[in-house]
Amino acid sequence: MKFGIPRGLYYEPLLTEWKVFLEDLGHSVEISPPTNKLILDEGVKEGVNEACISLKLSIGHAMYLKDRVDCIFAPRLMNMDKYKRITLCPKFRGLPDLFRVFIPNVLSLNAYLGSFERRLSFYSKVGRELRVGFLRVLRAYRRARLASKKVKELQRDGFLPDEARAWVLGGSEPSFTLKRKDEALPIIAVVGYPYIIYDDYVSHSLLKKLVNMGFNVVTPEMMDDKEIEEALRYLWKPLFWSQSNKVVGAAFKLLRKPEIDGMIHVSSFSCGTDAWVGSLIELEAKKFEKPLMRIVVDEHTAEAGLVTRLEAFTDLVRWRKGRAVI
Amino acid sequence: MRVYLGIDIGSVSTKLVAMSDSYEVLSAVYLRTAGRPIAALLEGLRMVEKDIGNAEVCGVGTTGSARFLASVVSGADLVKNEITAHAVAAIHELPDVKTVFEIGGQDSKIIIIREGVVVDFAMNTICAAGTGSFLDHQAQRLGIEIERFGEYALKSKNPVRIAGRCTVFAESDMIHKQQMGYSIEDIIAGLCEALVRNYLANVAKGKDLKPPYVFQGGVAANLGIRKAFEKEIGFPVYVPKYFHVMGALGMAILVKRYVEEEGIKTSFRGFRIVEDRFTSKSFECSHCPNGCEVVVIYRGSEPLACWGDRCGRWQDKFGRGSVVGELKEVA
Repeated sequence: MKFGIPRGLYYEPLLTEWKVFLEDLGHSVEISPPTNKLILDEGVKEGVNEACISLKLSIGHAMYLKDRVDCIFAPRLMNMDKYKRITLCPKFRGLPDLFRVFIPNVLSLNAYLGSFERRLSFYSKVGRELRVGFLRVLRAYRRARLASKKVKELQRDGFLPDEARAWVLGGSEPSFTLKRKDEALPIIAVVGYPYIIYDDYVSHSLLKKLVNMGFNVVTPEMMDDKEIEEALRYLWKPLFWSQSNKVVGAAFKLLRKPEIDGMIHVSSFSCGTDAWVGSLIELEAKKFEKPLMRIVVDEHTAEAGLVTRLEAFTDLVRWRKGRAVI
Repeated sequence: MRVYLGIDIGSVSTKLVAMSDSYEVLSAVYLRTAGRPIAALLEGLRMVEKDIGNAEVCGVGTTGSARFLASVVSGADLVKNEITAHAVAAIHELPDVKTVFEIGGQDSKIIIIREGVVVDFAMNTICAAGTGSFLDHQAQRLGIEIERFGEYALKSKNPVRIAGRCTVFAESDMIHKQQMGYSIEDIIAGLCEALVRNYLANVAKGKDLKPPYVFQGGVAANLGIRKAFEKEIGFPVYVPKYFHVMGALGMAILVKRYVEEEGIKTSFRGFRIVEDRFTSKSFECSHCPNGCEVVVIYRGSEPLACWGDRCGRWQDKFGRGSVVGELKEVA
């Protein structure tokens, strides 16, 4: 059978993990291509008006795959944290049901992915659906985890998710990395959900733009999980959502690092969880007197507003470091 | 005499400043962009030339949303974003300024400055409530010249409460108040207060406001808004002499510093370009599903620059001249 995995809200290293798992069980898998205008248009047309851009994109990506594959693989992400009470934005739960409105064949199972046992139970359920025995599932799971761990490590080294996946799955070493090359350059931390900051279409290649403007860039994916988790103790209680905790934890940790010269929080218009995340980061940035800018992305394709803000912010960062603005 | 030219082309208005070596403003031009930035720029250059005569232009800097376009047409030495340009001009006018309110035709910004350095800023995001275009529209609807808007507001004794959150609501609220019989003066003053409240609650949200305050941009001409600001924040608001062309002034200052520090010779094309024919054409690139709308700027039939492609395929190659032939065909 040929499976399709839509991007949008699903991101790395989950994409790699699922692809390797299904392929090991003898199926072929197509991940939808990076977001482009057609996918966005399709998602906006079919999507709910009030939803965030990433949810609309998920629909666009699924529509792209619809006639190319036999079945859409869309796990219902319930939890990815070791604490079971920490969930994900509810949009992730509704996603498979939204797909079913347009697409008859969707394989969706509840996915609790926060521990080895829970992951194994999820993949066993998938195996049962596909009528494969437990031992085959176990082998596929090991390979899938190995690949996804490699992708994660590469992301920590500053490689972009798509390129990291291609490399792990047998491609060549990517030429672009966010890893610091010149220690003297100012460092800007870019925090936000991975499905936003690494989607070049949505974020207008913000990360690459910053590198081209002469900055070092740090993202939550380039940090140690432990470091992020520890930083959550600065909150009087963690948030309800895994990804939000990751963003807030990363931001709180980075704001405490003296070498970070500024922070950009990239958020999606109408993102509910970011109402919390944004305010928490804002208050913390104020406490540590770090320059912070919030960029809200949406469907618009003109990037003039983004470029103006980015230029002004980078001027500010350099200016504060005592360099003339010109 | 050495002269530095600052050009600020916004969505609503085009501003040019010619500044002497001793930071003296020799010419300040303000005109409507009217959707035709190139025409406005050339017209502005014509007016500046009249003011400065034969003085030698030693540097040109551009800013505003059409800064790249203006830079290509004029042959600018420096291109900068509006925030930096406005901040530089405000610091030049009032060295110990701490807060800058800037309200223009279609955007509004706040810039927080400490010890002559920008430390924070914000721009309005998706909503143009309370900017110049909205005031223009309301003035027109009430049959009052926009220049006299402030005068009316100052006459008011009891400003009425108007919802300023959104222009659509503000307008219906105003109409309702008119029909109830409130005086025009009170409604206009109420509108000014609503806009200031909206600005402080949205653009300036969470910002550390401290005096001295500078208020600049086209809307600073409006005495009603000025007064509403002072009433709301409880401090005097300083409006610089060249409040309406501060972005352009900032660019003139920046380009002067730039030219002097780098010791470069300006690439200004000269005032004779006002006789040339500059055109722009766009086409949809068909190389990928993104279908970017690429804009090409021509002088006569010679392509000068292009942009609008997300992947940079046209822009990158343009520098190397390899697509100029292709772009000529588009023309």
